[in-house]
Amino acid sequence: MIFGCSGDVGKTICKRFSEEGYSVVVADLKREAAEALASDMNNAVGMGADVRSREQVDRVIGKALKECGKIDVLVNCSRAALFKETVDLTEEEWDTLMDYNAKGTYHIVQSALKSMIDNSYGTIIGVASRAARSSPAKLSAYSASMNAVIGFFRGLSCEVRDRNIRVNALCPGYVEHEELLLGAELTGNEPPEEGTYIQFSPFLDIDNEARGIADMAVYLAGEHGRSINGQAYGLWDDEVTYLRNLGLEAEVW
Amino acid sequence: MLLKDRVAIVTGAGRGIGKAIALAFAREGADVVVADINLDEAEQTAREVRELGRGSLAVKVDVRSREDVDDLVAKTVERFGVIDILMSNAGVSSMECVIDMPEERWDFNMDVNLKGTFLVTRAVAKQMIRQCSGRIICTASAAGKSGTPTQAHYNASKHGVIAYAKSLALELAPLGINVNSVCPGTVRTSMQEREAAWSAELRGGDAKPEDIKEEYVSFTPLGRLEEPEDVAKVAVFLASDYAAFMTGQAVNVTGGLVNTE
Repeated sequence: MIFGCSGDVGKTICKRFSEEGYSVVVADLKREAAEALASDMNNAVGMGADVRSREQVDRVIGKALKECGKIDVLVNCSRAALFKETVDLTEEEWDTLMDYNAKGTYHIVQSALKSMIDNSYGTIIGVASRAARSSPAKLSAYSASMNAVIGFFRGLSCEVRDRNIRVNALCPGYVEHEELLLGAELTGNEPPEEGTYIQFSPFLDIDNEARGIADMAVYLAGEHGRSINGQAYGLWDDEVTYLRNLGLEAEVW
Repeated sequence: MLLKDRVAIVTGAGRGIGKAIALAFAREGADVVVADINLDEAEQTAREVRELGRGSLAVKVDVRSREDVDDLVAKTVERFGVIDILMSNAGVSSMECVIDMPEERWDFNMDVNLKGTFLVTRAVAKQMIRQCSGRIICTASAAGKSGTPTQAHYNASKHGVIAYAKSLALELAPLGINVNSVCPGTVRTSMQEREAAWSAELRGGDAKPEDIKEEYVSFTPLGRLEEPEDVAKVAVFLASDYAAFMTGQAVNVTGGLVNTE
């Protein structure tokens, strides 16, 4: 069960799980995008859901459970970002980012958790951000929401570790212009310039990074990741290369 | 005196860590505006500040309310002319496992601890930008760097505070304003009394709040409960000229309980 496929990271994660033989249910704020992606994969269903709405999240998760019988892996890639000075940030903009990124994660997790507890099995993966680690200027609300996800997961990981459920976060670099577009759209701001993120990641190779992040998600969900819980992995530029050099790629493939 | 004639705002200063900080700032020579949702307690702290020979003002503030926060800044500037130091300290907690966590509890923790920090720091930053100087210190927590069962929402809010303060520090650095966080561990406050009681209840069996507090001590390398004054001393340091070249940091004050970055 994967939430959020508007950006390269979400899309690539969906495709990697599908390649690995998982049945994939993908939900996105934009239903058409989820449906189009699902139609490109085997055993996949696309649905529409706004993660800010508990009702919509429950509906999608209920449908996934009905179609597939269980959820082994839950991934949240729904992220919205806004590039703006904190003193100019409105309360409404703050609320929008917090609701979409942090509370959305809470909704998704709480909605799926009961069935995972009943099955005594599950992997939860949240896609957070490098911004959770080293918060840049003009991304304060986004950074706060992403570190909130990590904090939430760290607490949750202690609660579910005895139930064979693992909770981890991945922190990609600034790879997704789409999350800035979505943030602007949700808050009624002008779309940001292409390349707004590039200043933070001058050596960015988006395809390579998205692939590395998806590899790590598959790794965490599989047998090799069975002892990993409550972690937040930095996966940007040099880290992705580093993992590949370690041979992780070969192991995952 | 390390803070002679500075003007400070301390939110959540009616009791606990905030009160200890307000009094420590006053002892170091600062005038202190005491903000709290409980006006009676704020007034009591303000009286104690005045007894130390410093100016004070008690203001009723719910940090979730933009109007209250704007009112706090306006009253401070009207009375004292400037804001040299902001201690954004107001915070709450509750305890429940995620599976049973009502949405209202998520909102309560996130709204007071994280959004409250945003609203207060944003309003004060506007004043500090006009002055081209200022110190902002946020009370985060050891829970902003690690996870504890039954407090995933509180963990989320305090992780958020640390990340937010780091971003804000970078934005305000060119304007001569420093932003840091302080991360207390298990501090002897009314919040701790409540948490020890909740923990005992959630654990069931014969666990008593006193047993929980003994556990806190046993987990703490320096071997005692943390006092509000332990946090206040570091807050004074961060507000003082000694910390002039520190910004964007989240300083652990936990008796060694947390030893990660």
